[in-house]
Amino acid sequence: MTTTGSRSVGRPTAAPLGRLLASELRLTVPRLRTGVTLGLVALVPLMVAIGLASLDGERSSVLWTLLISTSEFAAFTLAVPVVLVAADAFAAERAHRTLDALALAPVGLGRMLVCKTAGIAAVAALGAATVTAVALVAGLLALELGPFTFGATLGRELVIWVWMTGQLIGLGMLLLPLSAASTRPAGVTAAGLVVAMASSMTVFLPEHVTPLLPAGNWSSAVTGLSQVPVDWSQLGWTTLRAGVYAVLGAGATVWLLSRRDA
Amino acid sequence: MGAVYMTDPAAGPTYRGTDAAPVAPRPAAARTIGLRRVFGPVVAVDGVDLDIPMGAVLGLLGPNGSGKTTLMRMLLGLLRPSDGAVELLGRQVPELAHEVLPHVGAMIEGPAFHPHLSGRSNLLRIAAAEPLLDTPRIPGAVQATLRRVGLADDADRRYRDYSLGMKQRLGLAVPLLVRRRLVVLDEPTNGLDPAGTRDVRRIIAEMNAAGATVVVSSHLLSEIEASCSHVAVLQSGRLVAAGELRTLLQSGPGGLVVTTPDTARAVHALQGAGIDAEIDPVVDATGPGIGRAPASRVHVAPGPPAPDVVALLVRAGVAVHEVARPGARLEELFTRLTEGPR
Repeated sequence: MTTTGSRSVGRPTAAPLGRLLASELRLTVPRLRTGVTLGLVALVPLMVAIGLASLDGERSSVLWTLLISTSEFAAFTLAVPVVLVAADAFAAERAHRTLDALALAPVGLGRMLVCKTAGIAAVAALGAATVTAVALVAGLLALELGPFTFGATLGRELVIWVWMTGQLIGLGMLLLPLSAASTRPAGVTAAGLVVAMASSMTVFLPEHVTPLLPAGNWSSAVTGLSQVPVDWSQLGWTTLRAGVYAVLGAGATVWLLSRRDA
Repeated sequence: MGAVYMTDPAAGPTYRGTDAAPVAPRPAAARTIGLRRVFGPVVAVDGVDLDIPMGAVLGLLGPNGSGKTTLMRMLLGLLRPSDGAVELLGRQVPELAHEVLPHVGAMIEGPAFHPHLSGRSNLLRIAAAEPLLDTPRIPGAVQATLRRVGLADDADRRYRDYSLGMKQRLGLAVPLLVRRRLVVLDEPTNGLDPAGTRDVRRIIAEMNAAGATVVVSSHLLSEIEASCSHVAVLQSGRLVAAGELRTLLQSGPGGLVVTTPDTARAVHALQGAGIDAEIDPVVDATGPGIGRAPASRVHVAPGPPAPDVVALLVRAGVAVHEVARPGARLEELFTRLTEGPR
């Protein structure tokens, strides 16, 4: 019988968080697939600007290009980059068995969640920036500035960028527990896209369900910015909803991961 | 593990003492106590008590589905035991796994990487999570490791374009990123050509020489025999044997093999003295008979001491070229332990 090897084991026991975050962003952001889906997102405001150019009136403006591009009718396309990253976060890592390498390093549950959230947030911010920037440039090239000055329009566009980033993070985080429970990223992606698409089909849904959908009431939230004074109520409600979904998603993810084997 | 534990699944644990002199106990790099894991109705690992001595190269053997990978995953804290305990480098696992895992390298169930990333990017990602690597040292450590496993020239190709052997080499690179105290390798030679297999053997020897305890599972028994100091054999989730390889091999059926040019007279003399003996059908052409009369072998059943057998044969006028106590090959031992006598 051998004796126990109780020699003290030196530290450190975890890699620096910043290094882990950088590594996660290198995995998600520079990926060709992410670039392609962001290109798809860029098509939305381009098509909206072309469509609005054939109309007269207040809505044929730079701001309305973005307001229409960020309504729930565009939710399916806007959601694609984030849904893919959220689906990959755990399900693909488990399917490739790369989660084992992180668990063995070891990267603890909390750090893993922070890294995956950062990946979702980065792609959400990029998606929102893409739709905002393309809407601004396409609108300026093809349409009138509209009822607001350039500064006021730019300010509203920045508000929508931040708001849309939050909405997409909420959607991504809602998918994270599904990803944590699965080894099939395609299934998680399909679930995410169905949820995003359902928000644009409000006519088929009970009225009280729409506000609970991750992309529900996006139109009324962003059109509040076209009013004077600005109506913040729906922006506030949808932002709160995204925050609740993010917290619930994070909690459920930790709960699931702490209960199952790596 | 100076002694050999042999467990007969039917008869329960038994102990076979060895002739080896008592040795001072070595600290365990890993230890399992009554380890058990159940998947639904399937008992994958069943009451395994195993000590892996510090500094050993332990070969984990067993037929497909015998529980090797499940045991390795529980050792590393990747799988929770249904019952029993695991101790890794002196710490309870999985509770205190985070304290020791930085000192442990592993490749379980083959290489696992992101297909869209290059070999280098995959290794950089894993290196970024290694607590024992300082950030400025990471690119150098990755490059050195890629060179060590023979992938320096292909480091920037995508992983999905790698051949099976290249994927295996990249998997082997992961435990090499940092100097480890324990390395666990699950089938490291899968898909490798003979040169790759030799490289794995060399790398295991280098890691062991640098102080690492190595646990390796393989279906290539010749590789285990060539590179391991200890073996543990699993059968249907139970540990049927564990110990020093040399000792286990010597615990075979026993007896003596006498090399002589006069096999018929030797058998006659031995049988005349009541000793069970027969001519070994295999002629050892490289044996000591070369250059003299052609020598063949006589197998003497266990029982009489070697000096008595030699004296008897010499008195009978039989030329004795060699008397040896044969050790079993690992393959024979493995077959005996996992399939029973045929």
